[in-house]
Amino acid sequence: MIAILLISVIHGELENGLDYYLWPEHKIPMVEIRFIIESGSIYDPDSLWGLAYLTHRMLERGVEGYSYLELRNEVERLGARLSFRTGREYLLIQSRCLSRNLDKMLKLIALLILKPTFPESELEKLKTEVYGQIKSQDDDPFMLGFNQFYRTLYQSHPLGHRVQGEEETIQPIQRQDLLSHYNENYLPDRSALVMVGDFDTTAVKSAIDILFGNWLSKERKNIEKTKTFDSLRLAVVYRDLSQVYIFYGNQGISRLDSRFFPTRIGNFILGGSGLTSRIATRIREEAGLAYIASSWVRSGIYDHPFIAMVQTKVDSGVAAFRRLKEEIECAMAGISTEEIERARSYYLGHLPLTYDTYRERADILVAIHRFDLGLDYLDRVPDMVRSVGKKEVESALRDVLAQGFVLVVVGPVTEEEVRYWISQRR
Amino acid sequence: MLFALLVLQFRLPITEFTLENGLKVIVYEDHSTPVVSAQIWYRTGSYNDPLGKSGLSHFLEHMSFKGTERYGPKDYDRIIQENGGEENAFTSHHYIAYFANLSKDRYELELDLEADRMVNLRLDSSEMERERMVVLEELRLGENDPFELLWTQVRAIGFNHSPYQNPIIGWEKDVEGINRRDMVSYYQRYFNPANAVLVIAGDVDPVKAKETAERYFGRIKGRKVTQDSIIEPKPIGERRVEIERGLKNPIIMLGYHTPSVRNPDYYPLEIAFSILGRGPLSRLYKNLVYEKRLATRVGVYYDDNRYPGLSNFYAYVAPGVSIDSIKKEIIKTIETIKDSVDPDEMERVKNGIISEFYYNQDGVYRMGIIIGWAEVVAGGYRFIEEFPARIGKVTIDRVKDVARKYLSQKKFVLGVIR
Repeated sequence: MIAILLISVIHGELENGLDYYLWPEHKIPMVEIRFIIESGSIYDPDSLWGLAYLTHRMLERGVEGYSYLELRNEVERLGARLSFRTGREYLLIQSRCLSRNLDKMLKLIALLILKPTFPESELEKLKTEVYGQIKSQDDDPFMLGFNQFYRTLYQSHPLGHRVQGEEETIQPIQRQDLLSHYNENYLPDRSALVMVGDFDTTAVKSAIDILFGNWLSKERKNIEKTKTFDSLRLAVVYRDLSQVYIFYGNQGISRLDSRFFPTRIGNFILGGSGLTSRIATRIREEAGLAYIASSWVRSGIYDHPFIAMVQTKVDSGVAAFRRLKEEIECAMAGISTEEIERARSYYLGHLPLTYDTYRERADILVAIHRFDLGLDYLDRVPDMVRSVGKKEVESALRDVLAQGFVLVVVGPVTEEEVRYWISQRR
Repeated sequence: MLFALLVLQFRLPITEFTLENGLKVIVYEDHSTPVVSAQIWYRTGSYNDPLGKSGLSHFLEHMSFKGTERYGPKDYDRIIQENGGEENAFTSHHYIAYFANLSKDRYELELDLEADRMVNLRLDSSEMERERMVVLEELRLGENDPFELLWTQVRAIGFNHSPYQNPIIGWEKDVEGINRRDMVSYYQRYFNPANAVLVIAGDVDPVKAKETAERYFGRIKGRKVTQDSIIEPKPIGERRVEIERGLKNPIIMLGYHTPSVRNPDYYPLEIAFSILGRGPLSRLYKNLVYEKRLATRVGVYYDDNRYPGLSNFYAYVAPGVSIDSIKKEIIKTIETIKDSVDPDEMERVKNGIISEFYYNQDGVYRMGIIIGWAEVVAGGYRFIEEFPARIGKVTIDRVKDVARKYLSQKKFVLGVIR
């Protein structure tokens, strides 16, 4: 086992509550930047799904002193990258640039966050592009099923709707809605700046203070917790395809819950370890029923789902689903000491691979910030792994998998046929 | 020029050597994290699939996880995983590659496993039947993805002779017909040290890496493999494929025959593709999406292959827009580059391409992949070192010339899925 180096991350907080995390590394003359704002689609008002997404994407459509194309031109002229990722809980501005252009790139990011102009004409253009994205997602059976899974699982809770919203909920959104959303949700004490790479920390700290120090904070409403249920919810989306796409899962667990880590190890055994997992072994390796057969535990501040997924030809749908369900039930019954040892061995040996790139380091810092993992997180991982035993994993899996399940099937099948699948036992 | 001074003298921290059996070994040093990516690239892929056996290379890639004389099926995955590694394999037209990323004290494991895989695959018949089902499921996944289905069909009609017309995964009937004899014969021909490149990227000492490579691969006998290229006749007109799938968002694609990455025309053409279709400042985005709102998304793909390939321009068509009108607009936009390229536009695009080159050095796995690809497709890793300077030297006139030469208004493949 290689000793993990103590990381030299600098964490600071401005008076307005903005956190920053700086991880200097001078291997390549570049810097990876993340700006996190806790303002994902769960903050959409009821009738305006897609508002958070549109607001986020509109940031670059005009800022003080730059039009959309001028801003993009400046970014490209610097040889930098700039992208936006909107999630259900939070949104990210991601950038990478050469070290020598860092101060210019930071100024542009500050303009995006603090001085957006939300031009009316750009909003209409962006809406057309988003309508297209929504339609493309509905043409893609995986995305169609994935979105339907969230809808069926969370129903009216804000986690349930598609991040981009729907055409009918986007259509009425006006510039004023963007401004209101921006003013209520883009707040320094709900945000953080992460930087990894080749920079001078003293200069960067000073730049952060100058650029973001005057950003004002205020109170914001919190989102209600998700409601648990114990029945099976079913949704079947008919599509003329050569396979059925099966999504089977439940509400999962919050990343803040102490059972999250044991659950993740349990899921590694169940469906999260590629071809050696129980689900892949049973469905792909032993029966040849699918190319993809796996499960995930997604992480979020709110409960985020456990999802198992398999895609198989239509005739094999019943056999694949039965095996999937049995493996989940079997995992609730217990796991072996050997499996736990193997999972531990993986997590211990894998640690250096999680921070090989600047990008991975930036993502680790985002997680450290969002889930309050502590700056010594990477150093603590080995002890965390060693402290999770068979009992903890079994108990966490039982708790998580005992919740009500959702089954979503996309493909050329009817609800009646899927109900028949559900009724089948070995 | 922003990057001019940076790019002229660029050298990667690489040590290369060849074992007596012909195995080429490239060691890329990066000591920033205690991680090594060990990759073996065979100089064969779907381009070498026998006639009527398309998908054989890819099928063999799957089967090479199904056990050797020494290890049972799944042992490879299990061993790498127990050691905290991540591993996989991939197949393309000109390579089958395997990799494992491991902490630096464990990377020898991968060399041991790959040396075994090079000569000892069992290719068991019953495993083969089961894995064939898995491959067919993978193939169906592609059929259900509208963009992938369209691209497969455009390529299929885009070539008369070249094996590039076949999907890497193969045609369903061909995959169903591949037997054990086909696979054994292919394996014995192409899997040997003289037909492979071993890339070791990461926190390693090249002297020790050489000893290690010698220890695991040195005793395997090498045989030189001759490879034929198939000359594709010049395209003679527009070809067309239209697929009806009841999509909400139709896609249009225009495929053009473009030169190999080994051809000097590749560099100006790469710039032309960026000017036309990469990012919000590209001409296709500005014209079709931003200004006229005929499309909701546009993009380009350059087929950076060993032999002349097929590259594409595509657009997701906005509601109410006819295929004919968007086709005309795409062609009209492509035509603009034959007449004018703005110097600022040129510099911006060059900066983008060259800076990407630097960003790619973030991470040993990614660098290993780029080096392996350059060796088997682009003619050697020097391609990577020379790439920034070659891009930097391209002139506006060269961009216009190659656009005229390859992006003909009358010789393309039109694909539509709706």
